[in-house]
Amino acid sequence: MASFKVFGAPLKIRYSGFFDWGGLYRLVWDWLQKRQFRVHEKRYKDKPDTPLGSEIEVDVTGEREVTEYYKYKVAVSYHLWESKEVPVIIKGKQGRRMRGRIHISIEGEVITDWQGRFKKNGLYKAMGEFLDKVILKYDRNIKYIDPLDKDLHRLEAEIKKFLKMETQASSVG
Amino acid sequence: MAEKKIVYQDKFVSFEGLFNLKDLFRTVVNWFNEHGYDMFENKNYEQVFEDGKKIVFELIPYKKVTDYHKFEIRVFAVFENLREVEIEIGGVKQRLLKGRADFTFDATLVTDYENRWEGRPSYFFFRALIDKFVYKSYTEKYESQLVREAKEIQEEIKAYLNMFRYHAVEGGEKSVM
Repeated sequence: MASFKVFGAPLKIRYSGFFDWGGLYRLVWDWLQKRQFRVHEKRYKDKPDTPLGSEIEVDVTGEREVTEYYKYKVAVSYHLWESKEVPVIIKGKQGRRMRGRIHISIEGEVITDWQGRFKKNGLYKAMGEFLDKVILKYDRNIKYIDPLDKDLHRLEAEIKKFLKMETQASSVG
Repeated sequence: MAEKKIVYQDKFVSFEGLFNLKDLFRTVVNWFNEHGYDMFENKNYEQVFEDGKKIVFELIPYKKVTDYHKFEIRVFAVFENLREVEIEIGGVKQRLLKGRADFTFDATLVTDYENRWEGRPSYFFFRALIDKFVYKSYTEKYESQLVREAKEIQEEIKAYLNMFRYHAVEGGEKSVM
């Protein structure tokens, strides 16, 4: 079983101001579910009532078996600082928004041989490595890593659009 | 580890005045897409204050020209004291941002980005020989192509910002570069 990271470093978005925390969380969750990922909230850490506001850390992962050999894994991490829910008026209606700083990072991974078929003995392991490094290398890059890369950039663009950031144009169309 | 050669470093563009940031970002991203680059957004930070916004983004798009050479162009932008203003251009009202923009451009040529020629000292030795005597002309050709493309994106951004240079804002102020 080998794992190939889609990006050299995670995609990062940082925003400070007012935002809809619940809406943002739901946006990412729904995005993953629509694409048939099994979504799992790995960690929810909340340090409430610190002097400047709450500090929240959330890790959400999604996994999906694409074929009998390839699997996608996406990890979205949120870290909020000085966060506080405040009442706001939006288009004449009373509502609540989170005020604070948020850092979102998105990582993607393509896992090969997720069923562990090439783990049985040394010969199988060598065959699996040869398959990964030589035979399926370009196939994997073009058919599996590139589409996931583009999809995650689209997710990033949707998050930026939701937060109404100025640099919300998608880099992949 | 891949070998990196910085061929274009620390070129700056500064602008103070009106511009449409959403359009500017889209222009930059479309330029890279049209020239065959894959986008990598290393940073994208936005802070909203009472008296304006501050935005920082760092794009490091890359292009694998061969299985040995890769282009990387880094565009680092900082926007400060951004405020929204409404002006009329050609009879159409537009919402633009007024503030300061600073861009930094770098370009790096990466060789052996798949790390095939460095597992052993003998591989490293052969790579150095081939780079020096066989691939020299190709590497120089790619370096000049990369510098040309880095200059082009810099001019593209300058040209875009120049479009808003002489528009008046409400109250009769003019934007200055």
